[in-house]
Amino acid sequence: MSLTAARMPTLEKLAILADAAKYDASCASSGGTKRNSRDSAGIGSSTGNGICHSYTPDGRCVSLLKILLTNSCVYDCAYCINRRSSNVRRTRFSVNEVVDLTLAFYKRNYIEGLFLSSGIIRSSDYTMECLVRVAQTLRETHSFRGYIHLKTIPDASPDLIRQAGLYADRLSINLEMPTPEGLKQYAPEKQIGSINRTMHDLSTHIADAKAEPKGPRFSPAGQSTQIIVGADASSDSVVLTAASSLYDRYRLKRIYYSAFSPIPDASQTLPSRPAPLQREHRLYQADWLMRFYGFAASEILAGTQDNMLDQAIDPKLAWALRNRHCFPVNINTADREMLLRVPGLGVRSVDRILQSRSHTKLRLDDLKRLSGSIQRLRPFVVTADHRPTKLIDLHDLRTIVAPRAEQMSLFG
Amino acid sequence: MTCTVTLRQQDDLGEFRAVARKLLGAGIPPGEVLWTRSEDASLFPDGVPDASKALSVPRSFMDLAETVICHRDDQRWALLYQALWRIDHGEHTLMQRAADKLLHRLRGMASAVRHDQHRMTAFLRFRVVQDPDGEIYVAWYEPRHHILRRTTSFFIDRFASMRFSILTPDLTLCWDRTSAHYSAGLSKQDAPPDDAIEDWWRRYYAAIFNPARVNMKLAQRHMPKDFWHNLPEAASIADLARQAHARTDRMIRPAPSLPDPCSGQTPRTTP
Repeated sequence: MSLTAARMPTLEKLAILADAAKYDASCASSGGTKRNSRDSAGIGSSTGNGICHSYTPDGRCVSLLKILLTNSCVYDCAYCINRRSSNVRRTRFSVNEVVDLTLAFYKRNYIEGLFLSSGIIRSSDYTMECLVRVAQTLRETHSFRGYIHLKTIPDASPDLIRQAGLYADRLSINLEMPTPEGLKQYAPEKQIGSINRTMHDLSTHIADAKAEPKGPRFSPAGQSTQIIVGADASSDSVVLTAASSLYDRYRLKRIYYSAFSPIPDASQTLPSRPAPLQREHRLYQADWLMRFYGFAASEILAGTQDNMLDQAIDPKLAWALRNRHCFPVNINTADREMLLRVPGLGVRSVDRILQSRSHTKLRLDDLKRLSGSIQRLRPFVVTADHRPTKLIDLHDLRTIVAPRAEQMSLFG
Repeated sequence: MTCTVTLRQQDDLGEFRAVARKLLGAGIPPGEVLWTRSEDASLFPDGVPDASKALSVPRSFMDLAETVICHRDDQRWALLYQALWRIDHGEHTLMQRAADKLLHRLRGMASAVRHDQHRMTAFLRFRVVQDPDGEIYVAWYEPRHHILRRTTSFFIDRFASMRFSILTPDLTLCWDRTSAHYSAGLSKQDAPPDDAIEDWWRRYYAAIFNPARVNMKLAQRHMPKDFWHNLPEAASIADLARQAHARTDRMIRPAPSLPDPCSGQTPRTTP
């Protein structure tokens, strides 16, 4: 690389290459195979559950050392701080610099492991090979058993992808734009076909490795992707429909939604204002409903205005208010599926209700202990001592159950 | 009559279990037992017949009790004994009745202990010092509950090949690469004051923060202020938060620049 890069002290590179990596929202360190270092000279463990070791003042967790190998890039994606035409300072880590940093941070219990991404330099294969070499050195030379998340470079050779899956706990490739047209407009060099192909190959490898536990491992914590929200004009409906299709087609472990955030030296084609963080928050809630509460994207979106989620209330409450004929739900007799649709009841509360009610008829007081709060539950449920007569028909039900504006500022 | 029981250990279920079996054997109801703690007093009062009762309890009760016993609330023994008494007196399904008041309270205590353990695995920071045998990693940590013994295996699983010590006000753990030793609690002054790598960590922390998304309420909810004084990165929080809006404004206002043709740093185009 350039002379500047070679002369630059590692500490300065760290500042530049972490700054360049922060627009990737992924931070999870969960889902890896359980392992420890009791029998080895190496280091590291994974309990399967992630750990957030710190939180930055934006409320985001710091779980992994999230850096780029280099912020030089041949692509010119408008939303990216590292695009070819940006005037940002360029630099590049050596393999050993990344390995040493990861180990120094890990041994002091700052991090769960490494999330390594990179701008694309020379070719897809060259870039992918550099990423694989870092992971390989950590795993083989240092017996590192912490978490590794590697970015998959589109069009990298199958052999490099296989190696990446062998060393990494999770692989990801970012879709960034929710529609092929958006991608074409903002990331002209990226090919939707190539991204889809990579996701498809990863999902096949992941499924094969799961089916063959004694064979070579392949990205045991699955694959994820990121969609930027609010850079183009796509509605929530477009975003959620794309997400739902990705979950179905490629069995993604997670999709990250990243509200478009202004970057230094931004491209002129981008909006200059950030997208509201509240929008991102509501999308995550809707995503949660699809993955853990049995909602289809179409149910969450049916009846919304302008194909956008209601920003003032969460999507589950919004669904309930639009589907009042499904309520009230009898806590003592309803099935699991219906209990999960009651606003204010989470998966754990529902499991506790199912367990408790076989021993005792649940009353409002019991429900309060099982679910934490009954304020917003009351209009939607029947218990042994409570029936919300008429409440469900009230015109101002929304104002009764919606959180007050003060609480909303938490997310804003 | 009230029977006073004095326990020596803060976090030992074995000791509690032995005492509870005796009390149950003697048929002493929960309302007549006063639980206290002292490091040197005798374990058990005179006058209680030694007729330990073999009691079978659900495995889920043992899991709950092992966790609750680490809670700092001195009522934990009395509450656990109440639960045992009820299971012994016919309420075999108590553990499945999550809405029961007593069980709800015990579950809340267990969950506080688990949360505290999780925070310890997250917020504990090692500093490196040299001694004649090489590097040793030392951490000072102030847990809310008596969780060090219970959380030890996490650190050994992860750092088995390093020599390390964890200092807390109640208890000290030393791992010498083969076995763990516990000794009396220490104070912050006994831990090393700094580590050169912390500058790197703070630099990383500042760089990974996105000023356009500043949200101190959310950050503090996840990482409460009372943990800050032992986190090297927390010293940067106030400055980062204060400068956030000005930094964001600078990103939004100026007209975007065009690439500088003279920089010579534009990477090569696609081959």
